[in-house]
Amino acid sequence: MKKYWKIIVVLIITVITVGTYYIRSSFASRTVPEFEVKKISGDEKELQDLVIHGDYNVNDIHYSFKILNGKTMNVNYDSIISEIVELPSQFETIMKEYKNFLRQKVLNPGNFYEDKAWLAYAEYQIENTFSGMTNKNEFLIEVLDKKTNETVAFEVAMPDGENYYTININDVQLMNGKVKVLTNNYSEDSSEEAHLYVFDIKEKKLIRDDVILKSSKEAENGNWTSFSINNDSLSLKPSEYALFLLQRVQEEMNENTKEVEAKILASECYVYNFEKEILEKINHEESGMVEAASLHNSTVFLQNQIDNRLEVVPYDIETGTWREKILFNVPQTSENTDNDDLHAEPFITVLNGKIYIINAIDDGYSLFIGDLSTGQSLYEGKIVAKHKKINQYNDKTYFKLIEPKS
Amino acid sequence: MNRYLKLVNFEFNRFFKLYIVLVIVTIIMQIFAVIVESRGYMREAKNVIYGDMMSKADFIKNYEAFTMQRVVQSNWFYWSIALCVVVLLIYVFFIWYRDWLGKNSFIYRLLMLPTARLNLYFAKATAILIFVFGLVALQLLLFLIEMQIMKWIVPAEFRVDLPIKEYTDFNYLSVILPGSLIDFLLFYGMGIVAVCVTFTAILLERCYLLKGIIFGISYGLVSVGFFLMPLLIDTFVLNNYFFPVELFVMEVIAGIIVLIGAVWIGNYLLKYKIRV
Amino acid sequence: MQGGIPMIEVKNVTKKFGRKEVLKGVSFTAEKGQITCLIGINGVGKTTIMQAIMSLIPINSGEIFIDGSKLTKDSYEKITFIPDTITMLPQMRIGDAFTFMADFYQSWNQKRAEELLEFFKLEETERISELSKGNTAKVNILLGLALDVDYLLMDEPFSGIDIFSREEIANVFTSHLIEDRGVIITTHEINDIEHLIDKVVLIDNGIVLKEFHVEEVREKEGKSVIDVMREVYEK
Repeated sequence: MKKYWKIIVVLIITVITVGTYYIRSSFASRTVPEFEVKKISGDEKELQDLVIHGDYNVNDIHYSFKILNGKTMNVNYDSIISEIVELPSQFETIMKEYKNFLRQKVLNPGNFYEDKAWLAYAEYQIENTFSGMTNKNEFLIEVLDKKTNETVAFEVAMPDGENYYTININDVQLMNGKVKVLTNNYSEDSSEEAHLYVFDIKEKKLIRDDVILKSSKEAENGNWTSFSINNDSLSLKPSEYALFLLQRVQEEMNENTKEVEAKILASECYVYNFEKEILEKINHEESGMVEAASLHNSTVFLQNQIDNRLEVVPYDIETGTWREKILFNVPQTSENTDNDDLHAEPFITVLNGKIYIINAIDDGYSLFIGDLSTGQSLYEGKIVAKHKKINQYNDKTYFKLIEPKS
Repeated sequence: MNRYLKLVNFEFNRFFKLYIVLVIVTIIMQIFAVIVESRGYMREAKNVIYGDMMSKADFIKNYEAFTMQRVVQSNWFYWSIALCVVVLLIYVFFIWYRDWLGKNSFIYRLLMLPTARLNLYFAKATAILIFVFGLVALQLLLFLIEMQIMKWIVPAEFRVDLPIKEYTDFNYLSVILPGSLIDFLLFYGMGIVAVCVTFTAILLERCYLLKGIIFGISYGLVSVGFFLMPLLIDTFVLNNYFFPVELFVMEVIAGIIVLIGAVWIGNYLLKYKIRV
Repeated sequence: MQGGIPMIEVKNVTKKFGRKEVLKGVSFTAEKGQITCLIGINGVGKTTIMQAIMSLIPINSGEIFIDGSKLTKDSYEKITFIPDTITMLPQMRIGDAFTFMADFYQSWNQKRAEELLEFFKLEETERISELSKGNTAKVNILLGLALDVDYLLMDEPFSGIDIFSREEIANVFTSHLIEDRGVIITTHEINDIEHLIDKVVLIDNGIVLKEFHVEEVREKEGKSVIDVMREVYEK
């Protein structure tokens, strides 16, 4: 027995040390990041069963977090398996019932459409040597009829494929036997176009290519236009409209910082109707400058920050009318702070008739919950980081989703 | 079973002296790393705060707080790990070849033991495993010591105390110290498969000499190829038909098959083809 | 087994090393209770035969039986091989080697090991790497003899050993230590041991030229072993 002491000692130390470490780590949760919501005014019941999703990046390390009921949810350290196995949550139900439809596809919500009767998918393929298909510039469209469980798939060669070096699919809609694909087309001369491609499912071909908007080519005299598509791209659900925000930008030298800044001269808001395939401009001269806009169902919310107030003006697309301007006390973000996120846009979402706004401020993030119908503020609070910041400069937080607890 | 355990103990004791040396060298290198990095940081702080007249708060803001991440990414630390890895890798080969070396051919004795020859294989593999896990445990204990040393040198306001997982997660250490138990089992499971494939390749060389080197290398490549087959077929032939989770399961099964193959071939070689 | 007598049977064994065919169909038997000597020039394959019997090398064809069955792992408690190199780690002390053997072999006889150690005038504390050639050979033989095995295979036990050690080792053969065991011994120097052996197997060119009992030949034909060898090789 004596000659076994060395190996026994090593084994005991090893098992205890490694065992303790992994048992503890299966119970432990991350300390980074840790957020807390502090109430300033209003009813904290508004936070109940509310999950705020976000991403936190520091030193190029990325963490996801969730805030529930005002406190960061304990997330157990995940194993690599969960990263390999994880799918965007929108695909979970489809995985259960129509698994094979998802095979060999890019699992990006923007490429998919789902309603009660149909599943649709669109992909733009450039050169694809691995798959054995060497065709260039093709759209691949696939549609599943949920009732019959039959799929229709077809490829359509892209007209003027050489003109664009890449095409990004933003949204897919399906209606009246047609698949409609909203894209961003990028040209080599750095201009960008938004297109709607309409495909007929029965005929299996492209029946329409509509150029919705164009951005300018290179800056002329420090002057250019650009546009963004402000849809809810994470959703697979049917959408009647797409929202575009076009901005004319002028580059200026900032006297104080001696840095070149982009100043927005004008911004225009457009709504595209998928059914009618028509683009409509929203006339918002009364509301003044529009800094941001978001689309929820058939309402567009234009946002504008004036001093200490965030103005939100709802516009009903169907009736073409404006509703009451809603004002929220959201402090102006100061230019002289170290919070790098301040240059990011506020996160705004609408849920069950309430509007949620998270905005970067000097020492954290302001959280506002307002009632859209009355324009009243229901809750105001501040999201503070409780974790210690390792690196002030390489430290970013993004809020990406607010949803009720499932 | 009894003889297997005795063999494990025997193999363990044979390498123990060198193992202790390795442990001591690792300890020295890592303690050195922690002291050098901590003091270097404080020296920089002193220079900037007293030399350039920057306030303490500004320094911390501009130069980043001190964490174990710095220690772990320093050269001394990194090379201590590299040394251990290299030594153990060499021993994976040497643990077999040492029995054939020199005038005293211990391989005679091992092959004439009244025990299944496969026990020789398992005992050597087990010994290697114990050595590896022992070093993992050493590293965890060293972290505790190093964090304490760090606290002695760097005052609280200059540092952020992270739990071990957070400074091992996103760098090379995540391979040695995976974040969760499942990952640990996966990574080291793959390691065991690799060790067994190597063992069998070594046995091929020992059985067939010059031809055996070619057999051994080919066998190694075939094993790797078989293991990668699900992935390769899915990517190049099936156009990414399978979902990641399905591929994962297939890979685990492939790994198990490769392991069984290695052990089976090793056993066959030891019983019927080995030569002194 | 032939006629119920325990023995080692080698049947038509062939062995090639690369292209060279060393054993071209070797057959002989070695009975328990007899000392069988394999005689042949250097390199004829005597060591190879022994290694083959112990399953230390693979053979190309043929069969080998020990007491009627093929070799299994348990056979190593019944048969042991003493090669011309020591089968222990050089850094071990003799005592450590004893511990090792006791650990793994049920047939290890500690008492006999200590007896033999005394007989050879060696100490348990001596390190194997520091032993002289003669003493190393003695320890090697000791490790084999201290096992209660039925069969002992010894490969050139006298080669390169000084005269005094040789005498000591030869004494072992006549002692109670060998008695009713079966011994196969190889040598290319017949002089030392002619008086010890019971049976001779002459090997040349990969086959057995002649297999005979020493006593029988001496009585019936009045020839010594060397006489027979001369006869056979001259053919």
